[in-house]
Amino acid sequence: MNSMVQAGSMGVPFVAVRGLMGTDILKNRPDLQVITNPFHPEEKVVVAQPIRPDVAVFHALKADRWGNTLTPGLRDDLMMARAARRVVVTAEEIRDKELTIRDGVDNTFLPAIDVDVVVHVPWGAHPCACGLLYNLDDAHLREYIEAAQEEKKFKNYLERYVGGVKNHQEYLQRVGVINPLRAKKINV
Amino acid sequence: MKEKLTSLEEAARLVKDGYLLGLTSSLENAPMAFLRELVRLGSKNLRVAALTGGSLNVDLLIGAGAVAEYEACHHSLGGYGPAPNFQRALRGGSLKMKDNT
Repeated sequence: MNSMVQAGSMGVPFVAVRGLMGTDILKNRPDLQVITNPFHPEEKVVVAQPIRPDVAVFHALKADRWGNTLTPGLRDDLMMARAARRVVVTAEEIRDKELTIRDGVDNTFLPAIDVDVVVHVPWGAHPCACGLLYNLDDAHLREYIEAAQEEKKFKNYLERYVGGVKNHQEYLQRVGVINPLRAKKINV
Repeated sequence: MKEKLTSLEEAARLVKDGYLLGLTSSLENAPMAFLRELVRLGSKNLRVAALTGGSLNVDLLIGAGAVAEYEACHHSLGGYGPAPNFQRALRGGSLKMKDNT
């Protein structure tokens, strides 16, 4: 998967993947093909197409108005952003001052050139965690899991927290995160 | 440099029905507000690629009936166990899963 997204980020037409030969995955993935290694004809190798999302979405600790972005932790965000045709960033905080790679440290820095759209969304990861800013909302997660056990109950959950609220602000009021600005600032 | 600030709704409108959506999040820093906005806009037939796997992010979209095809290495709610909407959709055959280990 990594290599397929990497291939997307590099603009190459396909990528050779090790580790799938002889597995049942090949039986269920007609989009993966087995070819002869052109450099070593005695070897067979699996090739896969690049993954190029139409839109990739990231939730960030902070972004500036031009798209420079810090996403929490070190992960594959930059690679996915480069593989995608469009990139949306939602951020806990928007800076008027330009962010640079030096602001990154232990986080991932997405440069403005890789970001198309920026949205200011405090508590945008709720009920998931966001870096060191806030943790998982354990109570809400349990409520979600309980509701998701049955289709009908999950419809009610969606009505209560998604369809039945006008926007993210109303959602926060409904889940009880009353003051979105109480998210602590962090030093990076 | 060009200013790129916009609203959540405008950003969510960039995702058309049938689009391939790329995600890297898990129970950590998932763009949940954005995904809820997608559901609110009635997104359909999305394809999702989650690197390396998915979690509450994709489970919400699946539970809302927005996902037709899903490619990932794994999918669960981490320490909270299996993801119920994902499992039900997979067993019910309404979701095409591409295992990408």
